[in-house]
Amino acid sequence: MLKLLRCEFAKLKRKPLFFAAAAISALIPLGCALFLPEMQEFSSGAEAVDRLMSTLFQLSAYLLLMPAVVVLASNLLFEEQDNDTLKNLMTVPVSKPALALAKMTLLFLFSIAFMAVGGLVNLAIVLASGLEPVGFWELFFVGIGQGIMMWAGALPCVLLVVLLNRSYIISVIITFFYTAVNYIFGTNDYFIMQPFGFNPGTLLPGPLTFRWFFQYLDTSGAQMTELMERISPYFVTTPQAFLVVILESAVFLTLIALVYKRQSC
Amino acid sequence: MSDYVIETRGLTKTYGEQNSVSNLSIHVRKGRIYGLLGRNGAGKTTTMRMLLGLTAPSSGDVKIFGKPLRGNEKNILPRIGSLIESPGFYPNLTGTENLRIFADLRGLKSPKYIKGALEVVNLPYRDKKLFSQYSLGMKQRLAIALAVMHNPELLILDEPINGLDPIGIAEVRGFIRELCDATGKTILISSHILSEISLLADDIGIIDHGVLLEEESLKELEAKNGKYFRFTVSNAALAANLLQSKLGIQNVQVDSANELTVRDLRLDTGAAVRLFVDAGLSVSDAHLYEDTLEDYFKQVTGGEGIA
Repeated sequence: MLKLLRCEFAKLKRKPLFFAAAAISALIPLGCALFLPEMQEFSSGAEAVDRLMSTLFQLSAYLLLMPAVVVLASNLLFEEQDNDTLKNLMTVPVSKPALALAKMTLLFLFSIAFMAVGGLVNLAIVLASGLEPVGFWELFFVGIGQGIMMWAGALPCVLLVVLLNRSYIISVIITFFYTAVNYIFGTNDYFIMQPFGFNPGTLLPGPLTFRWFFQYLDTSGAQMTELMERISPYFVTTPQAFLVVILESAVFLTLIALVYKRQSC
Repeated sequence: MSDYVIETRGLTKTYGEQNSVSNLSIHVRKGRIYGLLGRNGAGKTTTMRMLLGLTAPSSGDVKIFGKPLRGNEKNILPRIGSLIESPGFYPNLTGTENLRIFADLRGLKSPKYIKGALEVVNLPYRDKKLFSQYSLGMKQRLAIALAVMHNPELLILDEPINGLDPIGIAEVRGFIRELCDATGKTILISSHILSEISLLADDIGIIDHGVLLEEESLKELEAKNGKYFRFTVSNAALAANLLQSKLGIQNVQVDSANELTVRDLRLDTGAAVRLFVDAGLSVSDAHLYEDTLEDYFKQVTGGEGIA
């Protein structure tokens, strides 16, 4: 598996799509810092960290990371068929499920790196503003956790892409539809205010992620206090959130591996 | 233990209603070059894909190195080098980088494997040219390098000279012959080019419409080729009569007023010409002809020839 993962990294050389996807992790933090006035005037380092990281959690992760994972997944999974290299791999022999899992592991690492880079760009902005990054590292690790949750949340969409086998346009449409739905559900009271259990608020990645990361943000201020009072009973703990992530990942990774195995080379 | 490195029994592949390969039983002997000869679409590639486990047979068995392929892929496949259909590599990587990926997967740590394989096919090591910029011939060479890089005991090469220029074809031919003669490797090679197969192969299998029509050594096939004499004389009917009555020659066929064919190989051409001249006939041509492999191919496939 390690060998396969190493080879997946080697295949990324000179692939502009992958590096463009990695570069956009810095896009939203930098854009916000440069163009939004409220992101330039902070009363304290803690406030700066909180606002910038909140942008990373609510915009970058939902609107950029999730579609990036799916688009990259389709690129990685179909590159062997597009380049006719699958036959060379099969005769090594490399098993198709192992190959699919290596590609998913690469995306897992990409998701973590995406959030880590976004977090570090925020740190650089805070430091450049001459403020002390109070509470940064806790939110940095929340960001890493959210990256993992977004990766797991993208897996059902990756499965659909694999099932559609090479239909890029439909894959992209599904990806953006899925991203939009997750973003909307992640901010909708109906999905957020559900108890932990077998319900859409727990099973769908958008609401689940929101119910986990939001408790780590600073909620002082009248508007936020009201929101906090309303939704805090529905927050999920870290073990609960990651239990769902692990179970969903196991199911969808197995399905992706099985579907990929059935496709001819 | 069987002397065959590859042995198939009743191998069949059906796509829908159509049999792509039908009841194929081939026998590839150790240390020999086996040429699978057939027209485009005859079933050569499908057969090779089944031998490598890339396509599951609809029925029949494949044995490689004396063991069934199914269930033993992890032991058998690392001992095989293959080139199937067009060369497939990552376009964003150089030739060396491409080979490094497969070397890594095969556990070949030393760069000497990559260097050696590239040397064999006359491609530069650590060249900066990307695979996407390669010519068709270079791509084919790289695919051959990949097939031989791990020093396999068996090579399965599907149309390996496709896209090569005449010098490249001669080089690859020489290299394949050398691999077999010097290192004792067993090679299964497919082609639709009869002249290539006849120059390279020790054993030949002729496949047509998915059916193996013949499987013999090249020597046996050559021995089967028909030989005959042809004469052009002033009176073919009289000449035929003379050969039968005076020299006791059978199997004489009058083709036209001036031409006759003799398939009785006991004939002494000199004696025949003397006999014709003594009888007052003029002889303008006397030749011994031999059927080519192409004629034989036409005969067994019952159709057009092959390139």
